Amino acid sequence: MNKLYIVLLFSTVFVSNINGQNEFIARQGQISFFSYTSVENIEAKNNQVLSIIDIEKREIAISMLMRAFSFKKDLMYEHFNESYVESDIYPKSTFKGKIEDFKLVDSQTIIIRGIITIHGISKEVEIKSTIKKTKKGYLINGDFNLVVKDFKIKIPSILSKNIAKVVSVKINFQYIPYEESKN
Amino acid sequence: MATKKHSYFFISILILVIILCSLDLIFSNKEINSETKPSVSILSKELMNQYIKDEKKADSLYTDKVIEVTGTLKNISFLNKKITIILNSYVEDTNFICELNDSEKNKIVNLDKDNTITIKGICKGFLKDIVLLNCYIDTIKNNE
Repeated sequence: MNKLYIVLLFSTVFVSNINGQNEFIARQGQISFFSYTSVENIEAKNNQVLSIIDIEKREIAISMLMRAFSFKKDLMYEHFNESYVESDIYPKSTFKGKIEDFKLVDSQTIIIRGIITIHGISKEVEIKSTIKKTKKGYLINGDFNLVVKDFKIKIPSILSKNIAKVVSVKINFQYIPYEESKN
Repeated sequence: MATKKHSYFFISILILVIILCSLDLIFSNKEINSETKPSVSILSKELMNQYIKDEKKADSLYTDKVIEVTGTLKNISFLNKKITIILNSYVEDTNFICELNDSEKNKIVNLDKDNTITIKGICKGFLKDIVLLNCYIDTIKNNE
């Protein structure tokens, strides 16, 4: 099911440019999230996030393994995967969206708007980002906030003070031409 | 009386220190190390074929387990301030992404493209590539 979903996600977004130079891929994108409360701060990083952009169509797709987030402590990792995002049932999270007002200049601020799916729940999000042209491709950095309860993530009342209601998320992708990544 | 109070105070401090040390042991990262026995040892191509054939089944067998994979070196990446070994899978448009444990960084000077490498890490699943984290390089074989 998950494999089919990923294939469909990427093929529907980029079906017409299989051999074109418009597709760029980041196989090792980085997504990190931060939860700040008076009790404790929690930070997690995933350095192996997959993303493909189609520059001509201004489209972007992201897919990540929830178990690939690294935490400072094992207990945080266990709570996150077993209790909150239920990685056994929902091992991946995805985003599919459009880059708005992109003008193909060297560097600019952009808005990426699309649908993020976490824990089986889909929500529309807006990611304020910068896109820069690099020697080989593109670099996208951005950040946005997610409301934990929007994704039906149940936090036990005993731990509710440890986890922020709104989590801040940062993205960092270095894209290279898709064809080049195959070699 | 004062001595008894002092004793209680020191015993309380001692208990607190023991509890804090125990909590640190329990809650700190339990990383794999170079001596950890993998639950399976497998060729990169074979594992990739299993994931492509039935991802859910492969996930149930390998995800979050320490596995040992043997394949040839495609590339070394230094993105995100991490050293990552990219192994060939011999299946089109797929690779193995093996993020190294920081203690292994000295071993990369011995690596050449197309070396056969046996690498051990925690399998995290499959996107376009199979992702292994916290990896240790077990053996390097020069194929020349």
